[in-house]
Amino acid sequence: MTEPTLMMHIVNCTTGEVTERPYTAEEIAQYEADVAANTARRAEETAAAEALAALKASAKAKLVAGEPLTEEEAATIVL
Amino acid sequence: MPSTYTLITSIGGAGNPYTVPSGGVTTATLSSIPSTYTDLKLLISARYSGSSIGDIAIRFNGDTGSNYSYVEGYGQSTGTPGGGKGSGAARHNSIINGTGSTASTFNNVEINIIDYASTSRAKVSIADAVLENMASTTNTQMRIQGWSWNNTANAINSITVFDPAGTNLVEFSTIYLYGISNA
Repeated sequence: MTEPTLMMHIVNCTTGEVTERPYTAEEIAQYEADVAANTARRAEETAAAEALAALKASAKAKLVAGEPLTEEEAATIVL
Repeated sequence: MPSTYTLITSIGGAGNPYTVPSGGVTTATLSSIPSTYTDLKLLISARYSGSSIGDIAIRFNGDTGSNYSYVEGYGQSTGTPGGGKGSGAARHNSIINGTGSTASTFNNVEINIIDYASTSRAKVSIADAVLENMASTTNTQMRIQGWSWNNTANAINSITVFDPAGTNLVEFSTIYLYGISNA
């Protein structure tokens, strides 16, 4: 399957002129770097959210069972 | 002090110079922004061609250096709210609906860019974004961000909007740029 051509659309705010052109090689390289960075950022965000949710669940379970919490677990519930 | 809003340009919507074509837009750049206003307001309503939740990223003056620092908080209808801070080569104004969202549902992003024409200070912005997805409560989010473009020397003269997940903004997405003048 052929990848769609990456297109740059530019609107000149002063003249109203609209320009459409394919990405340059430099822009393609930057685009690929952006995609990689965003994928990593999304993964980090997801991992952090999951880790926090796990800590909260563990802290809640220990509180109910009357068990001591770790400092990390306590930090999720102490204001 | 009263202020006035002036539509500088728009992509899509009524009276626009340009509408997103049926094939979508990879990157939209608003160039040659006049420095005659006090602040800028950018309103985006968009959807992207990828699945699930995507991102909208902003870049000023084509600066691809790691010159954007941010702090953010977000919440969602299910799951744990989160937040963070950091820096990067663009500022991501998550979030945006994708093909996994309710059909024909577009997200909303409002960005206020303060003192954008300053040539002596970093440019700060505040953004809020809401993604509605009636098809899945796990994909309904809101996100608030503040960030700084750490360039003190140059006025912002262009704004680039793109999806860093590598897909297109789809047809009927709109971008409005307003100039705000203190009267």
